[in-house]
Amino acid sequence: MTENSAIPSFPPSQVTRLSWNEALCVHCGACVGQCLSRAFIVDEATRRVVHDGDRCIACELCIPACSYGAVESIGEHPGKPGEPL
Amino acid sequence: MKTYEEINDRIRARQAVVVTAEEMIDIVEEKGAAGAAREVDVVTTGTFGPMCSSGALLNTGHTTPRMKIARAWLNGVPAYAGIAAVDMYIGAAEVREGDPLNSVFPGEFAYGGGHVIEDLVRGKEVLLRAEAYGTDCYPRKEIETLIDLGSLNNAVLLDPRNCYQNYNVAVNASRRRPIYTYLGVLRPRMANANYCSAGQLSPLMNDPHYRTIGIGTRIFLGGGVGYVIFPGTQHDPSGPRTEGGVPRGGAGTIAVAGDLKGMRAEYLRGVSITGYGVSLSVGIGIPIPILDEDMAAFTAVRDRDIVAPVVDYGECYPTNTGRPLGYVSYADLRSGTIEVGGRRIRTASLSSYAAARAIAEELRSWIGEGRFLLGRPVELLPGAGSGAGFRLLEERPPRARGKRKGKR
Repeated sequence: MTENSAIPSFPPSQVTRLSWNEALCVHCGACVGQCLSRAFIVDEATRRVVHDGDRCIACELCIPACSYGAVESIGEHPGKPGEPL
Repeated sequence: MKTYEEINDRIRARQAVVVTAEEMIDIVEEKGAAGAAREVDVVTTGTFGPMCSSGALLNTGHTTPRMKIARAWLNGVPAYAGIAAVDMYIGAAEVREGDPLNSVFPGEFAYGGGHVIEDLVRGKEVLLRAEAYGTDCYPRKEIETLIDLGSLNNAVLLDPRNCYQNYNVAVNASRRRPIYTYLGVLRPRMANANYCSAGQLSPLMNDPHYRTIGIGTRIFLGGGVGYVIFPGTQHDPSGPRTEGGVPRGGAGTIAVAGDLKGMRAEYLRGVSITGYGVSLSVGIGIPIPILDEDMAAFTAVRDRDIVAPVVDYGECYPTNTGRPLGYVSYADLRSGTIEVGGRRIRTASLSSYAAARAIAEELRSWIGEGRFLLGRPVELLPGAGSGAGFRLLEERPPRARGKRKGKR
C-alpha cells in the first residue's frame, strides 16, 4: 500500500494483468456488467465489445463472467483469483 | 397480400426486397405498415446465445466386426447410446466425465458436449470410446478410435428447445454472496442484472403470434441451413402479452434440426458457464415473409416496445416462488442500466447482439442472392388459445405395491 492511499499498489512484477482475446470473444457483453473500471464497454454503434487496457484494474471479475475463455489473467497474482485487488 | 410462391419466385429472380429486422423499423416508420408491406418481401432476424437444449445426433458408421454400442464417450463426454447400433446423441449440457463440477465452487466446467460439437464443426479429431455387451449379430464389445465430422455418416444438429421468444432478466436480491447461474454471475444486493435476448432482432419477437413460423420453416442454423421441426419443449404461447402482441415473458420456443456438416464453428460455440455447467451457443436466423400489412407491423417491433420480467435468482427462481420484481424494456436493458424498485442496476447481455446482427445480414445476403428460398410451414406453431402451455411437475409419491387398488 502506498502511504495515505486507499488504493493498494503492488510492485510491477506482482501485478496481474488481463489478456482479452478478441478472436474468442462473441461480443455478448457479459463481461461489461462485471467490470468495475468500465474497461469493458459495448460500442453503441457496432454493439461489439471494446476493452481499454489502460482503464483495466485487473480485478478479474470478468473472467468467470466470460463463457468463451476470451479473458485470462497473465502475470503473477498477488491474491486469490477473482478477488478485487 | 403476398403468397410464399410469389415471394419465392421473386427470390429466384433475385428481385426480392430483403431487409433486416433493424432496417424494417425505419422503413415502417417512414412508409407505414401498408407501404412497407408493398415494398418489402422478407425480413431477416437473428439471435446468438447459449441454448442448453441443443445437441447432435451422430452415426459413426458400422465397425468391423459389428457393434451395438451401449455406452459411448466423445472426448470423455458421455453420449446417449440407447438408440440403434452406432447412433448416438451428444447433448450440449453434458459435462466431461470426471469433471470436479461444483465440488470446488464455483466450478469451471471447462469442457462438455457443446465443446465436442464445436470441435467436430472445426474439423478437429474427436476420441470416441464405446462399450457394448455383445450379441450374436453385434459381437464387438469395445472400441477406441478417432473420428471427425467428415468421417461420420450423419451428423445432425438436433435441438429440442432453442430461440426462446423472450426471457427473464436475472438479479440476485439476496444479501449474502454472489450466485452463479445459467444467466451468469449475479452479485448480491442486485448489484448487476443479466439478460439474454436479441430483442428487436430476435426471430420470435418479429412473428409474435407465429403466423409464419412452423414445422418446415427453413432457417439459418449454426452458419448453415436448418429447419424448424416442431414446437420447442416448454413452448408456452398462453402467457400475458403487450398491446403489440409480444409476450411479457418466456413464451414460444422452437425445435430445430440441420446438417452439422454444413455449419460453422463461428455460430456453434461451446460455452463454460462458471458455477453452472456447459452449453452451446447457437446462431439462428429466421426469415419472416411479409405476407401482409400485419406482418410488416410485427417486424417493426422495437426494443422499447418489448419488456422482460426482472426475476430474483437468489430466492424466487430456484424455489419457484414469488413474482417478478418488475418489468423493463429492452431499450433500457441495452442502455446499460435499468431501474428496479427505485434502484439503478447495471445490465449485461449473455446474447450477442453483434452476432445476431451479423446473422440477420448474412441471411439477407443468402436470400438476396437467390440461394435461400422460404419454406412454407406445413403446420404453424401453436398459438395463444391452442391449449399448449407450460406447467410445473406435480409430484406424486409412489405408493407401496401391495396397497394399490384398482387396475394393475
